[in-house]
Amino acid sequence: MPCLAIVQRPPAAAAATEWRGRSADVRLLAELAGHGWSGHVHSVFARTVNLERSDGVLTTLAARDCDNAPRTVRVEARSFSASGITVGDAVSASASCIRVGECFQLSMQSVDAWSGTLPAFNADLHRLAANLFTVKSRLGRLGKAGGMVPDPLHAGGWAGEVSALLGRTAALLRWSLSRGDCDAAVRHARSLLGLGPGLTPSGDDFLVGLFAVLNVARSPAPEWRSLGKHTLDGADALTNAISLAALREAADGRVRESMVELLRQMMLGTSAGLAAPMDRVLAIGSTSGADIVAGMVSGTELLLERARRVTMTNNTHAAGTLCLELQLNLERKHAGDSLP
Amino acid sequence: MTVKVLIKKNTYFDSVSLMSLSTKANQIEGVEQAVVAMGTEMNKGVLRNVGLLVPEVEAAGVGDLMIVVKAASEERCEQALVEVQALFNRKDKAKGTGSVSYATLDSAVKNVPEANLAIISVPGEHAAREARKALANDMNVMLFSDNMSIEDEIALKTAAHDKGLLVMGPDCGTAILGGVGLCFANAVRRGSIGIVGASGTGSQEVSVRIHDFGGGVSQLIGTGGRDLSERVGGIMMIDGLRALARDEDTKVIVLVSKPPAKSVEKKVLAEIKTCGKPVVVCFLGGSEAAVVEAGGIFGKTTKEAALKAVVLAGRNESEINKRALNLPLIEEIRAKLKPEQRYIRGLMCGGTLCDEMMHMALEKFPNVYSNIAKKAEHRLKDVDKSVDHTFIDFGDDDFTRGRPHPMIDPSLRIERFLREAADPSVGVIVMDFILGFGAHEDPVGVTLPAILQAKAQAEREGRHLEILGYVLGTDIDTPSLAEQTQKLAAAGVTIASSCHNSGLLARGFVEKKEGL
Repeated sequence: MPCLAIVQRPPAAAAATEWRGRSADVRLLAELAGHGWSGHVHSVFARTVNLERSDGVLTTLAARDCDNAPRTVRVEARSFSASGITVGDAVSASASCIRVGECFQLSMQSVDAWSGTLPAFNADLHRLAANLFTVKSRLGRLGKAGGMVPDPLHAGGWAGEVSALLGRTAALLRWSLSRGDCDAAVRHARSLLGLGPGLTPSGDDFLVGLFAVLNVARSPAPEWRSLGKHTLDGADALTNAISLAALREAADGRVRESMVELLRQMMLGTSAGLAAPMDRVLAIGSTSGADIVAGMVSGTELLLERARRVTMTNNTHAAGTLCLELQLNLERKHAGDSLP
Repeated sequence: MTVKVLIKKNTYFDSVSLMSLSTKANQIEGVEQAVVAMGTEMNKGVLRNVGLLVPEVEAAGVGDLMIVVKAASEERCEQALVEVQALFNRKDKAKGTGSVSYATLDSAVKNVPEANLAIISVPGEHAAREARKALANDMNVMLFSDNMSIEDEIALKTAAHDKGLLVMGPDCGTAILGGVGLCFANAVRRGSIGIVGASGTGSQEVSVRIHDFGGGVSQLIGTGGRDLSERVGGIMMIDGLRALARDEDTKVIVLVSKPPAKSVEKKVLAEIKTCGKPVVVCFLGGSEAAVVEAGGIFGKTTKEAALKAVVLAGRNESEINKRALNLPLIEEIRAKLKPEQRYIRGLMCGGTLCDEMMHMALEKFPNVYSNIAKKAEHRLKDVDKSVDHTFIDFGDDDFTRGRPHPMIDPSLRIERFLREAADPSVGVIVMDFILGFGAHEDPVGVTLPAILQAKAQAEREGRHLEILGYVLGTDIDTPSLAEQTQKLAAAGVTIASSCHNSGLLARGFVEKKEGL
């Protein structure tokens, strides 16, 4: 019979660690090819490490099972637990390698370039509506409660108050956008910044999802694309640096790979293909995944509503033209067919 | 009420850790409310709204972590903060290098050459490759991963069979080998009964019942749920049975599974005659005649199988507490239910437990539905909507894609429970609470607020809400069986001592006239 051998070994002595990069954001690669930079380690987690450039911009090193994402390099290793990297270590980055402290070096020589291009808005509104319905139902069923998805067990206290405020503010933001009140929309979006539980507060995650959708190509509401930028102007003090970095990228239409895939499926795929990418997004963080999807749902609803309105207006114009033509024809008939 | 605050300057924990810390902080005795959140202006604003804004909170920055505790007294608050700090220290330690980890199986093999078992828990598409590596290194394999193709499963099991090794899984959640419980296994007494199980919670249930009846377990070999399918052909159940036949510590063998494919059942039963040890067969919904004809001992339910195995292992039956049903209680509950409260709603974390209870309900009622029913006429059309007597396995793919098993994260079941509890046609809600090494550390505690809320709501509406709880665990599990059942009982939940008894009680409660 097999039996477990439990072996205790002392931790390995500190030695220079050399890892290889697996894939990286194409824009980050271009930046590194142009000029290197220096900075320090901002924060260390089991599966990600954030490096802060001297001007405050964050770059992320992510374990191999993580998503590709803006300003991110995925490495071969599964975890940073044994990397020896600690907060405050000096960082120098160039096109060929990223050095952290004295004992960690990441080779960038054979890194694959990743580019997360958002899909275009789907003009097939029936399909989009069906996909949206599927995503909403799945979010209601599988989305972790506690952020944008209300938690029925914590209706009172801080959690209940946060949940209610998130719901109210998101509704006001949607309403402001749909009636074209951009100033109010920015005001309500700012009220979501830094609101809620988690390292990336739920309100921020919601906005990341919303900004991503508003940035799709061929949007029926291109004027909403700037919502993110206007919201984040001068908003540095409203949320933490890690969350702010994701928000800034999303405002520019750049989000992580799993979100791009979900958005692509929502816009261009069928309901059957939504489960896998959606589950990958829902698995982000604790409530972050559900909060992001809630933002994507809101954004898609807004675009869909706008597109329907545009279609109706066009149809009304078309109907009006037809009536006019008929009227002219009748007049012509009344006129005895003699008009030129 | 006193409010105390701990601010951790420029401290970043991932969201999952923060949520877990927040949940644990709120469960500390005497704490009315605990908030763990980043120190943003909006979060501070909400703290102001709920009366928790104290000067230290106002000074917190966006990169600071705020821990705010409200408790009945200053002393309680201080104590709670000490406990919260201890939770953080544990997290910090876990982030460090307390254990040795190896990035690849190859490096693990190189550094621990004497290891002979690899537990593989990676996304399904990568699991076969890792399992092949382990087999190539002459290691037995436990595949916790699911979503592996059946072709890979067959190839791996055939390769393992040829090398005299075991491949337990894919989707194998429970094993006890050489006295060491793996993954979801329970802490049970060591003894002379070996188990081969194609169902994880079924195997847990049998091992726990054996422990309860005074017996002990020598080995528990999992095979994964698909092993007894036509295509896989029971390769691992047969190899497991043979391994137990050779194992000197094993005197009696129990086979556990949901109903196998007929041809595979025949093949497995044919092994019984040559195995040389008594074999109790519990194939839920299976045929007694086939088992007896093959020379085996039939166990209709997990409880019956465990009881027979314990007696075969030498325990005096008259000394065993068989946990007889409390018949007067059944009458009492029936009297409390209104005529329209007719249905059972089984909200289960364990798939085999769900299956076993469903079979027991089917013996009495035709209108039984489940998301895991094999027959189309009993399959729920919409897993989100219960119909008549409904049994939901929350561990099924419908509920676990992209999220942890309900034995680790029961939040989906809690939400469903609240919905079912509000349904006036519900007579009884049955829930399992599964203990085990890898399971949720307090499955009852995390569900208790919902139970209390639902009971209060039902009372306001003037109806009795009958909740039947079964804690699958032992007195030596952590938390213990007693601790968990006491909590349930204190909340007015009726306790069943086994899956079998849960099934009998549930159907008894809603059966209006006939006997059990």
